[in-house]
Amino acid sequence: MAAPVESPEIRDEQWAACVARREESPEQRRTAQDALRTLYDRHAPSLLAFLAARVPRDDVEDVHQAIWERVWERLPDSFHTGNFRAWLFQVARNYLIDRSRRRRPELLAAEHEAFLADGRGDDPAELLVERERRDLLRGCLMRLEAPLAEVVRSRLAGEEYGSICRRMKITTPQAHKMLHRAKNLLHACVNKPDR
Amino acid sequence: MKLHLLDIPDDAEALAEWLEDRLLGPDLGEVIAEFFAIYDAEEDGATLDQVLHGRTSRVLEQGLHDLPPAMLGALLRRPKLLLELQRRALSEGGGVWRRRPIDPRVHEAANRGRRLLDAWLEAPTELNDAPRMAPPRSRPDRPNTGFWRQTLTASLASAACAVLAVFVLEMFLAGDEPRAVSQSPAAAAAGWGWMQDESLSGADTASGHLLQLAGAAEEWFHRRPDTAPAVGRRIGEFRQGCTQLILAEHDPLAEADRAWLRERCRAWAGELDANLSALESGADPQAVLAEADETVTRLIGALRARADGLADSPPAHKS
Repeated sequence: MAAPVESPEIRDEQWAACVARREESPEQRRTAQDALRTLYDRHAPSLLAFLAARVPRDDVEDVHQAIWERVWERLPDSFHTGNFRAWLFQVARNYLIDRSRRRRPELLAAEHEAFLADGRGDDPAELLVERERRDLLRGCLMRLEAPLAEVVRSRLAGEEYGSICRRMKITTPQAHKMLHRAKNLLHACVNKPDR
Repeated sequence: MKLHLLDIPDDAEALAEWLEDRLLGPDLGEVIAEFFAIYDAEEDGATLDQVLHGRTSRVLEQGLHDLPPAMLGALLRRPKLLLELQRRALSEGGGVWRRRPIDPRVHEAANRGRRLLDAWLEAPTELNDAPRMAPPRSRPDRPNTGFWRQTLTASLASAACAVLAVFVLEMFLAGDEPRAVSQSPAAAAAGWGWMQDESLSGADTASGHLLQLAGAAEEWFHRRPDTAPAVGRRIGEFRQGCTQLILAEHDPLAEADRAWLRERCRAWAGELDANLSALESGADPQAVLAEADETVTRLIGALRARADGLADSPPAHKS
């Protein structure tokens, strides 16, 4: 009978337990460092993707490193058993809340959590780490002829071509052509040399 | 500027795959910004579970390819929910989410971070492998940041060999006469860290130059202010050093490394500015100091890691 395959969660838990025992001896410390490296290799890409949507691009890698330092420091006391990945993302969220609180101390705690961009903030614009991109594209969209803009908006909102064509009284080939032209114009507009 | 929305596939199956790639890659923030530009996002308060009509668990296990086009469209019209979906897919998702290939840019960033983590973990520990001692002024709720800072605190709390280590470090940094960890008023007035001219010049190699900067930055930990004015002054002085660093010539560095250094220093300076702002707004000085400790520890790690990468490079010729 084949040996049961350990789930990734169980392996993570074992590595985390190694990290937690780092003070037992110098040898255990070295083992713990290797265990942290293993956990890093397994989870860094996911964490980086998470941070990239919530932190300015230039700060992502710094924040990422700070979170792993917190993992090393806090794991012995605040992670015992369970899903390491879920704990890691909670550490990341708490770090982002603390960071947001430093930058906007006038906000209430609940608002800081909302800024963490799980989609529950009152002002969607505040979620945006790419506000400039939004504003630039919005400006270019306003410069499009109205029918072209409507096709772009409708299609990118997931509306079927059939529905768009009936509403705008155009044929499907016309809709395709308009969308193609609109995309080219938007691309040219956002990439104008004087920007 | 690349517009991600221009690449949205027409086909529903391809759209699901496209969206999964955005959720797992580094561009989701840009994609969401573009969605907000294209149309007024629907703010009906619908939750992810409501938009997915009870299919959330299945999506977290199997991805988006089974979703009807109308449901995908409903997600796209509520870009905020994409952030929640991303978080859940990354932290809870199984199956297809774990098997998707990693975006090369994320992979490269992870590799860079791994080098920084290695450098941080390999930072010198106490001289005699004795069990770590608690920092002399530990505060239960104060984040114990930085491997380097723990090491220095433990060394100071131990016997003469640790004090000797500090004097040796000071001699290395100063180049001339030894200084005690507690600087005399005259020495303090002359500047510390990057405000010292000798910290920004004198090295022959790029690697040596960056290590010299890292060593100067470590002087941050030589004083532990405990009042708001003192913390503010300390952060302000280090921040002033950032300006000196940004404006310096950095002759031993190649242009790419100079650009990297200045860009990073601006980012670190921004974090210190945020610390000062928080302090001025009434934040706890020790909490602010701990945050600044984290920033300084990271920048020291970044400088050392960059120096490691340049260890075999010849000195740059200034063009």
